[in-house]
Amino acid sequence: MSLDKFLFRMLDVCRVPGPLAGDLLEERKSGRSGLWLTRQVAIAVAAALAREVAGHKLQSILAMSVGLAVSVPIATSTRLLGNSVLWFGLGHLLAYCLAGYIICRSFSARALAMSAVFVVYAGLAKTCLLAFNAERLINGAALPYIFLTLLTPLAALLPGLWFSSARYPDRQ
Amino acid sequence: MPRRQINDVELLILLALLRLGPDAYGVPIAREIESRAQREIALGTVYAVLDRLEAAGLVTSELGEATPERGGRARRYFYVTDVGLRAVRDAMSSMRAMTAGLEILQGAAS
Repeated sequence: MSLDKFLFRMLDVCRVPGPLAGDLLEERKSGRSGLWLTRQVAIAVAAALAREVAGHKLQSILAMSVGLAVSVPIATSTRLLGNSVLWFGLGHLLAYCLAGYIICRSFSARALAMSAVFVVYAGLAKTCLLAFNAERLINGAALPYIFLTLLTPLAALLPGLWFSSARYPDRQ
Repeated sequence: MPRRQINDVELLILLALLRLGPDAYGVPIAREIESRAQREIALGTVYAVLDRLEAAGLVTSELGEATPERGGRARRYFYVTDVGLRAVRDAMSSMRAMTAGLEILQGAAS
């Protein structure tokens, strides 16, 4: 799949309004670079998701609560299987994928926006927790755990992308 | 009801709409601001601001015809309403009042 096709597919999946997507296509055809298009699509997608979240504040709070209720027990219980980086990473990936899936099932009309709001919330919460424990964590051995802690919440977006792709089929 | 204050990006976009007249849609609006004000504004930002202005009654919009060059997507044309025009006049008048007689700005305006 070419970069352009992927980017315009993302616009459809993230429900970016047609006129804006049309403007971006028009500009791309008039010679704008792939980098320009990538930046514009990122901004358009972020704006579309933010608008959807702002329009459904209560659902967003519920989505965050559901995500938290699913991910925390799973991530915590997988620690019982071992404390290695591998188990830590797998446990967190599983926890966030499942949280994303449950959020998408619960809020299927706005699957991607609701999973995105949970990812932002989880990312901010994890960053705060790491910052409060910074003194204890400043050593080389903690680095892989910090890395995984900050990146694994992104896994909750995968079910959202999958749900939205199925809901808004490719128009090209 | 108090009049809605507009920020600098909203003012730039409203001025671009006034300059472009009936041909104002996303692409020319962004280009007009880029060429005249030397400010690059993302198209997503232009639409987000226009949505906000439309909700506040400062602009209206209508969809044009879908064209194959745009992948079957229509253009959305924007127009400034009377309320919008009044907001622009207020903002310009505040700007003039604040800058009048400021020697430090002499020569920077040209």
